[in-house]
Amino acid sequence: MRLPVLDNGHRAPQKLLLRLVRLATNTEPVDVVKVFMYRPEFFGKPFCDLGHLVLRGPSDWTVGERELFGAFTSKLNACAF
Amino acid sequence: MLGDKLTGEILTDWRTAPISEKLRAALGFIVQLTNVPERIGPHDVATLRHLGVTERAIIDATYICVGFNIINRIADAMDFQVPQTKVFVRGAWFMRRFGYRLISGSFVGKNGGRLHSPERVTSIDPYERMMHRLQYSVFSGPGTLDALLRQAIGEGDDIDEDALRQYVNAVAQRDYKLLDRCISVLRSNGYSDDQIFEATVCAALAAGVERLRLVLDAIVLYPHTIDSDQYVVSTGPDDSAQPVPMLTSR
Repeated sequence: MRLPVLDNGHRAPQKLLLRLVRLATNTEPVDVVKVFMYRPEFFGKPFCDLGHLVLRGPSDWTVGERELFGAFTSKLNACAF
Repeated sequence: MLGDKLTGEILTDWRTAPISEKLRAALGFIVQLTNVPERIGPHDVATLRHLGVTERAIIDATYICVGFNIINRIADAMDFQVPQTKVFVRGAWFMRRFGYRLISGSFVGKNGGRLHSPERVTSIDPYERMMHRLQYSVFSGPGTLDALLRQAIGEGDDIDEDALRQYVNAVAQRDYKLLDRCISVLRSNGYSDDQIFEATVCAALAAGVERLRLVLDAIVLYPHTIDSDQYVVSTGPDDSAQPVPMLTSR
């Protein structure tokens, strides 16, 4: 992570949640989750709410097709995420 | 579900993979929207509509493409570590099971932070309210970077400060060579990591919003293009022979 604040600058509730994830999975939470949880009201919460509706809500595309669109876009951007 | 094998084939070569023409056209549209968004126009909408892709389906595919264009930029700019396959698979399972809402880890109530939007005319975009909420919190909501500066990044306006302008452009254009240098200059100019993070999100979101706007414009313009079904005046011989009776003739 390029900005250390995204690794360990979380507020108490999110810090607790990240600690629980570490305990439950025995691995470090992935970076995207850390970014979503960092001051979630700024970006993570509204972005994930929208993302959930678009990827899981009613649509002419199946969930599989929609996940494919996402993976395909990442591939085009040569982004491993 | 499409299955791992077919998904792999599609990601390797979507042009030849054994999929429906509808899905192939949608993937072609995503390629354009990601790589050359400025070329998107009503003709692209026409191509999809003629293959039976609904307007809503075009908007859904657009939002997914836009969302990943946003998060890809943030991931690259913030230099996300690539998770091990094991972690990745477990993460994918979690997403399937619980969806995307949980992972922001926000405990704000259901109505927390919701905007009171003014009455607006009916939009073709079913996600408009949520998109506005996202744009509002990033560009205008509470933050450490001056809201005017965040809005300038969002609008693509020129930014006076060299290091910030270069950084924002690097994120938007996915040109990451200068990133580390820009960040160290920004830090020495007094920018906090919080402010740099906000600038990153603003630049990434702006790149997404621009793409969304291009598609919505193309959809609105589509019925007015010549090759649309709805506005073709008359093609059949019957139409020309018998003019439609006027209401007043009754």
